[in-house]
Amino acid sequence: MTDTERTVAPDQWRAAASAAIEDSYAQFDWLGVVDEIGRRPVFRVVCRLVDPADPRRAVRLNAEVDRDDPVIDSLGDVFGGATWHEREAHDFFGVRFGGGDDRPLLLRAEYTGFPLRKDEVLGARAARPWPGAKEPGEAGAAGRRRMVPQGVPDPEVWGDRQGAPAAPDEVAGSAVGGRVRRRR
Amino acid sequence: MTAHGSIALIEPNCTSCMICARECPTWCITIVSRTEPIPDLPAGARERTRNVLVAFEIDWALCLYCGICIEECPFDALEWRADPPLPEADVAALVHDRQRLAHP
Repeated sequence: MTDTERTVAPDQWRAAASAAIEDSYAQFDWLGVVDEIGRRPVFRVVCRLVDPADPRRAVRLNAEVDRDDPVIDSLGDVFGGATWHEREAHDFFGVRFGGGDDRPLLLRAEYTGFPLRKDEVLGARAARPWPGAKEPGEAGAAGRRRMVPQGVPDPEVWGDRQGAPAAPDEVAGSAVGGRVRRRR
Repeated sequence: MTAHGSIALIEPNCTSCMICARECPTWCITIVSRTEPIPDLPAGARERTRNVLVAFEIDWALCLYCGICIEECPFDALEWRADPPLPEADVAALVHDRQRLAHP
């Protein structure tokens, strides 16, 4: 059975969770974040709740928060287990959960950046030669038709770029891997 | 936890297309190939080339046994084998060449 989808405003997030409990979706399954960059400048926070009496019944709550200031209420006092997922979401996407626990969970405290944001460049991959860069038949270094691995933008966008840094959506759009596009 | 095996190369099927090396999330596959003219073409035919595999290596120190390379190979040149790679005293020895990958 497919999950019921509900889209709610960020300020209705806790109310929507309480309302879902009223609808007997009383068991917390998971909470995650989707980076919608390239479509809309938002993070979509998703929470899946299940009916404990019939686990095939489930609802997914969706709320979109501003990418520049991603804040949403914590569900920690509604579902105790949500705090773990919120701390993970804070580690990986930098979404802050008001009234929740923002201590690092899976990353080191010294780590800077948010590794699952789509505009986060995988710098170690840019620095290391990629075995997939070569074309079939090329024995040595990559030829003129350049490929970049996923997570590494076109050098013209990030790396060799002159002047102001590229906008986050341009970095994200360019870091999907494949052939470096010809630029005008 | 499901036990994993190892990944074997079926060399005659490999066209050196690089798809597995590009799809590998851990960059553990290294391919070296060259082009050579196809011999014995009919008289008057335009000269054509094919890719010849020179080296195919999997670094088992990096491989996470996800099987994406097997899934993505359009020519079924990679397949699962039951036995996992044996441990080695030296990490460099976990890089297996095409002979070891063909006959694990």
